Amino acid sequence: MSKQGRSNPVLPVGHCAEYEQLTRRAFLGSGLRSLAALALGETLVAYPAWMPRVAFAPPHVGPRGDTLVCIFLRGGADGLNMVIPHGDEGYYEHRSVLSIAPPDATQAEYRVLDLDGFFGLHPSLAPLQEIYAAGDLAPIHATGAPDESRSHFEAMALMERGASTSDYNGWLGRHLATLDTGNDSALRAIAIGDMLPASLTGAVSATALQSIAEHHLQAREEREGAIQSLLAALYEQGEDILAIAARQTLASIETLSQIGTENRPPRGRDYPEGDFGTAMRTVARLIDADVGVEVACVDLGGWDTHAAQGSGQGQMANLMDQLAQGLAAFYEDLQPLMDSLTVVVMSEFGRRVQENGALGTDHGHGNMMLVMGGGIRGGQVYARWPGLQPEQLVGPGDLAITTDYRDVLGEIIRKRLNNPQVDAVFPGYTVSEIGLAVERE
Amino acid sequence: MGFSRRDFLKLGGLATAALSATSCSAVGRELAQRDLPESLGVPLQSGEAAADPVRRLLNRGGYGPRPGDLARAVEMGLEAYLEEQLNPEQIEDTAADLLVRNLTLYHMDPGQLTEQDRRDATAELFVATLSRALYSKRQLYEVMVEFWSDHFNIYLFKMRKVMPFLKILDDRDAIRPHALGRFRDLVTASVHSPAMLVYLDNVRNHKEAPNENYARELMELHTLGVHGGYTQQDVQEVARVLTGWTVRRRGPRRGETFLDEGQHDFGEKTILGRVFPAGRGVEEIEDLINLLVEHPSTATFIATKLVRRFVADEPPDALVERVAETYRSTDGDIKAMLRTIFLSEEFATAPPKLKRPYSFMISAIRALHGDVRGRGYRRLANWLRTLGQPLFQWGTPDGYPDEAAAWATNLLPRWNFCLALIGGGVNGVTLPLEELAQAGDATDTDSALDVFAQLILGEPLEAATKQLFSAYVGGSDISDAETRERIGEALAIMLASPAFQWA
Repeated sequence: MSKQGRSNPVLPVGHCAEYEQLTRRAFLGSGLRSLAALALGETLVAYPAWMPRVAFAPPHVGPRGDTLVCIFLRGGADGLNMVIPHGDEGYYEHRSVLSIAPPDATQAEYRVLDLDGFFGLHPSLAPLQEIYAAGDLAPIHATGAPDESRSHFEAMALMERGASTSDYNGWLGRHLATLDTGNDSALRAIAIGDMLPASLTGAVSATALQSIAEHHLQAREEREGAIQSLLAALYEQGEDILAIAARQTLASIETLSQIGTENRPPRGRDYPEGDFGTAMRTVARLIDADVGVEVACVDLGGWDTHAAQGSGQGQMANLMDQLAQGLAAFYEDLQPLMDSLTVVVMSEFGRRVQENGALGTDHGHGNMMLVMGGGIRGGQVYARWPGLQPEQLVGPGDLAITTDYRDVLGEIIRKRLNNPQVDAVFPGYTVSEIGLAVERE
Repeated sequence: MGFSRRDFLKLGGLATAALSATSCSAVGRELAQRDLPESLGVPLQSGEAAADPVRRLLNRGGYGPRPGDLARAVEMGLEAYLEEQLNPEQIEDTAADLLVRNLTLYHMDPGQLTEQDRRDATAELFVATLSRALYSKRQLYEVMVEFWSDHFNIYLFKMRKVMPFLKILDDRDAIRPHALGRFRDLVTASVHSPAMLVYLDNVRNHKEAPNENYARELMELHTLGVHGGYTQQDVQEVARVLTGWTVRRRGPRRGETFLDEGQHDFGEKTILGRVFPAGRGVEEIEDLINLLVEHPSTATFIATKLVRRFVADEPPDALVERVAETYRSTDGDIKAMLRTIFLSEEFATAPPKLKRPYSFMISAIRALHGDVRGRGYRRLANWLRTLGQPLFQWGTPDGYPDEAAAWATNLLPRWNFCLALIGGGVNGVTLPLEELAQAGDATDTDSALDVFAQLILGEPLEAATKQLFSAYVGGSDISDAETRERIGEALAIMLASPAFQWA
């Protein structure tokens, strides 16, 4: 079996002048209408002041494509126990305790939910089975980034930046900077939580949002406007990272003040309790309210299962349960919009094939990804399976990568997000599409 | 107070401690609030504050000045102030001592501690940390405790039934004794810290099936750095050295670190090219620590992190090299490295550094001489969650980020904290605004704004900014209730302004 994923060199960066210009230091002054004026009731001109000007090759001008929801499983999710290669004997040989029994082991309490005769889902991911059957979910396996460090932080940086680790500049940021959809919403790119993921940093400002209901100044209502104006005046000057973020924040407060704060009931099942379910519900609400969201990022952490990972139940099963319930609730809730939505689930690396002595798994290499949406050719698993026999593993005993994660994202960027400048999003890498998405109408 | 903590505990156990505690804490608060100077000097003129190195030292090597601190430090000069801060044991610190002495669980030995309620342990850890940051005069020392707490990060709620106890021990017995000592001792203390061994799964690292977690982070995050020259093979070999290094779970000595020889791999290992001969236990762990702390990559890695924290998000190479050289020539003397940094040209001309939420919050309360009562600590701990930096709750072992890009997007909670703090919305935290205005001889809105601008921003407002604030307040008669309310809001906005976010 080919191990082509590993032969990809670490991305060369810095050879491309256009890319170099795309750092945050390259923001140019906007010179346009300030947000102070906005707060005082004047109308908004074409480019709001918070939106940094980026020196870059002219962005592609065109209609926006799908809304992308990007879910990052922090800590290195054990994809081998999520999309399970039950048809590979090596899986059971390496995992005498942590493995899930094959689909036909009728007496076992927890069995793999078969997808295609070779791969199947962990029972805690059962809610995804229906979406797969409906053709809207595609797992990709033996995928990932060409990370050799097996360090969380290096691997995340590599994957989220899609390039060098030395620039604070992510693949989603570059995507947004190279696609002009005429969308000047302060919520064009959002992250749920208090920090922006590295994927969103750099090129175009994005908003971190903890909750819709609390996204306003907590002052007496009659004072809010005046306080906001004074803040706007104080942050009016400057192209530093803080001034830009402040103007962005003020603009997002303004935008969110237009939509109601009460939650409508979901259209299908309830979102699961906990931060992830709440975040998915918030994203759905913003997409529904049509406030200009093009990219939304949500994190689900806790996947660094070195010890007591659990098998059919336990620590990791609980996380999978949250993930699957959250995805399924989102899928049902936004069913009417599913043809213009794409959801991607990824993690910085997979975990060691061989379980360790603490009933957990150490850092590995290849992993699975999930892609969901109306424009996805789902109902099949995309994998050039490298195999789990000792000679087929890489490094200290890890799943090889046969599909670079940029092949998955690159195809989505071009076909679903309407951005033809994939080369600028992943500088130094040539994407080979694997045919998992249909071209947007 | 002439007695040590040990003497104090000897005085008669918990009941006595709890009784004396109340008064101890009250005296501590009283002392902390007594320092308000009678008049507020004006050490800096408009436009000087951002560039002033002494103010920079107070903001970065401390949690910002309380009233009077800046004038005092400017008069001493940077070098003398730095030397004072580098010798914390010589700084009288009764107020903070009393506030911490008030605690009970925080001072217990491991066996006794682990029998307590873990929520109480968490609460006491928060009070100890916050009250020291707020009121200790050993500001640089407290900042270094925070720095190393990030460097040797431990997530308070992994294994939540035991970690609050173990983190108290880590804070008290590993980080604090060595925060201004030698890096070697700090690493050694951390390797012996039960909290670390539990957090990074070394308590589950056995010879038959080693667990790599701690081995990897010990090299990647604690010593060599990710590009420090080790390989996956080294990670696996270090994991073998650490097999069986675990925490006693039973008996009178539970909570102690020890080598479980039955779980230790006594075979030969090779790490970074050096052979570790077969047949050794604890000695090879000591050798491992020595190998790692003496490695040139460690000097550079620690220097880089220190310079990033105190000088710039993008650490200047030349200074990093000089600090690394200090590390190598002084066997990792932390004080010596800090001297190299704070007395450097690079520090004197450093670019702005964004305060992290914790520094922002503490410095706001300090600037306005805030008084925190019992429940106020809980409120502040909750605010830190909204602000994005709850105490000891960064999940992954790399510690809270130290770059502006990680923090700039969460401004709205900062603004709301300022409004709540000034508006009396943070229960248990009060600000003596009247007294401050009097001490500064404020007679009208403009002079009141100047007094508070000196406290908050280190200098009187520049004309254009002052005009914005004056216009916001409207009236000039500070005996008018509405005007006073507007001035309060103006102070909140001053704390929320860009100038206060940068250190």
